[in-house]
Amino acid sequence: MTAGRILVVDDQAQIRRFMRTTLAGAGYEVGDAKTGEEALEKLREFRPDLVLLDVNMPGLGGLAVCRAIRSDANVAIIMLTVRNSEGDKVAALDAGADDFVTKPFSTPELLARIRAALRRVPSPPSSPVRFRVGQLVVDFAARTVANGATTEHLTPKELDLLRYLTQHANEAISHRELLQAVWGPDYGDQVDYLRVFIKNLRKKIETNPERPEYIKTEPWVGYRFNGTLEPL
Amino acid sequence: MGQRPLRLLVSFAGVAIVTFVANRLIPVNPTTVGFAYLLLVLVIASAWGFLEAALASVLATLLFNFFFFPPVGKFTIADPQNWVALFSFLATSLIASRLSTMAKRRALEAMERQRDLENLYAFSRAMLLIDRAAPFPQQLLDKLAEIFELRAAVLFEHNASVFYRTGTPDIGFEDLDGQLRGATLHGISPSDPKRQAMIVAVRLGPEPIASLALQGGTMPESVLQGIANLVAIGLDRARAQDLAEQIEAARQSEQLRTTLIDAMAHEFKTPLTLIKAATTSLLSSPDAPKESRQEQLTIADEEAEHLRKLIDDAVEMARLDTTHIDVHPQISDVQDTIRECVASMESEIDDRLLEIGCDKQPPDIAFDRRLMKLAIKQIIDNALKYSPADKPVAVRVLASKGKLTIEITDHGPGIPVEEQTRIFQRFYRSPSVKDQIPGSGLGLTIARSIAQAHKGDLTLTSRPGETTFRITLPTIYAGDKK
Repeated sequence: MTAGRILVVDDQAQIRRFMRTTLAGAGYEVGDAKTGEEALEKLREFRPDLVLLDVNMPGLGGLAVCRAIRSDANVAIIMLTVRNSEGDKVAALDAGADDFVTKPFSTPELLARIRAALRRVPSPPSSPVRFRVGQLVVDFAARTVANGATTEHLTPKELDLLRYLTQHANEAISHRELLQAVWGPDYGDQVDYLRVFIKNLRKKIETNPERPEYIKTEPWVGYRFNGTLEPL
Repeated sequence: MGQRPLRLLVSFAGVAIVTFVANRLIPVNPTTVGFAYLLLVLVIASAWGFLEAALASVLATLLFNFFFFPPVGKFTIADPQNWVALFSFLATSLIASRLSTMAKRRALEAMERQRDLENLYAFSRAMLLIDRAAPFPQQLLDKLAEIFELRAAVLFEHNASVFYRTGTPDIGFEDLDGQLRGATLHGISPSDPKRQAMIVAVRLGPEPIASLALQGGTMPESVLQGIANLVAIGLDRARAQDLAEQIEAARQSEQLRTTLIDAMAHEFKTPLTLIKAATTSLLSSPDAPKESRQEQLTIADEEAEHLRKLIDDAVEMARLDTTHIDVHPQISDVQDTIRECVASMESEIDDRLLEIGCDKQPPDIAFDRRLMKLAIKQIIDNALKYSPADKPVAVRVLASKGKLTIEITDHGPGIPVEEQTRIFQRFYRSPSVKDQIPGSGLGLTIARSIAQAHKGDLTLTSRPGETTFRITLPTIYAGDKK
């Protein structure tokens, strides 16, 4: 039993070599791919829990690969980037990454982020797996949300976020609490992550994301899930 | 004897000869004599001018009266009709000589105007051909003085507050300087008859940018203004050119800076990342398995070496690019050098197929090993970067009479003909790869400079699916250095 399966996608041989030895040392099973195209192939046979994806790759770039993976898999994605600007962070998160690590990184930090990305919000046995809120149908087992006719898939972190919010429906939850519950204890200050994920989540569940009906912003505090859950 | 008295004497002699011939040799009637006089006066007028013609016609009138109108031999005239004839003759000859003189003067003026125009044209053409060898205003002034045959000329450039001078003036240059300053300041063109210098303000639109003093030539106001306008255009053009050059230089150095920074960001981050990743891992988990620790240490060590090479290369690139290339040739084996190159590119080559071939043992020649390695490395690196990972790259050495060729061939998409010369330009990067493949746009420029510093060259042939770069080195160069 390994801690998880990780697919390393990087065009640089030395990075792949380092990741293989380090991640294997940390107890993960490691696969690697040189290009985005190869990564998409390996995804099917290797079935990783997490993809460690370099943003700068020749051919299909990291962001495009990220979007391609997102379109059909619920695997966690961490992007490796050399830049450290707000725009790149948002671009990575917007493309569907769960997190990103800026090169040069420290290995303990990388490992912590991998653990955070693989971490799941525990679901108490009492909470329903499928329920309806107003027009919205949420199915945690199938990882889908349906608002009227459209059904959307949720990424692991989106699912965790929604799960935590609905478990505390109609309570105001602070940014810090949400971040630490969903990403882990080290993430209390990463409000920008939350902003991107809430925005993406709203796109999937709200009829009008500009005027959210379910996920309300609590000014200066955090967010609140609005509505009564009716188990199905 | 001056010219005018001589002309007068000749004119009078002409009149005397006509009188003598008509009176003594061939007796004719007064009408014929009158026409002969008239003809003579006209010839004199058209050849020399009004004064000569007028005096000749007065003399002719007197002689006409004296010798041909009755009573002959006296200055009196019996028949009043003859008075009319005589005065008609005088008036006709005076008017005709006046007209002919005016026509002559017009022709002269036209010629002068044409000469002025030709000079202005020559000046404008000369202005376009001025190179950047000496200060532009100085060259402009020299040309001006040469074309308009001036004794001296001074140009005062207002912005720089500099005087440019040419020729030797009759009066001191210093006297002109104050007037020139004034002309620029007030934008006026004072005339200075007592010093015989023409001063004109040079304006660009409403703004006076310079002033000009010319000595030793005469020209109408319009020509002077024409010169001033041309000088204004010339100075403005020079200024625009200077500005463009400054901007270009600033742009180039800015580009070099950003290029090097970009290259650092791209190239340096990877080894740095690996070193940091390995060391942080080693520090945080001291009881990791020995094999894993060993592997991480190896990676850190290799990457530290990689980083050192990258820094060496970057320094080399920056230095080579700004100064001329100093070649330190030594007799070497080209194949050895290529092998060393390839060995140093382990991480770039990775698992790519690189074929190294040679016709026959090439002769040892003299070249700068360090520079040649840099050049070969650039080209192999390009071949690897710009061709698909599953296609081989071939390096071949060919020896022929007098030269040695190193061929590097890849099987990439090829370089379009219109880009084949541009890729050697500094910073040029093909738009088709610019955003996908990192690069500085310096590599080929440097490689070619290195080849040329060895009296060789770097050329290419390319078609879709095959591109070959050739470094040719003369073997004679080796002989020179032995």
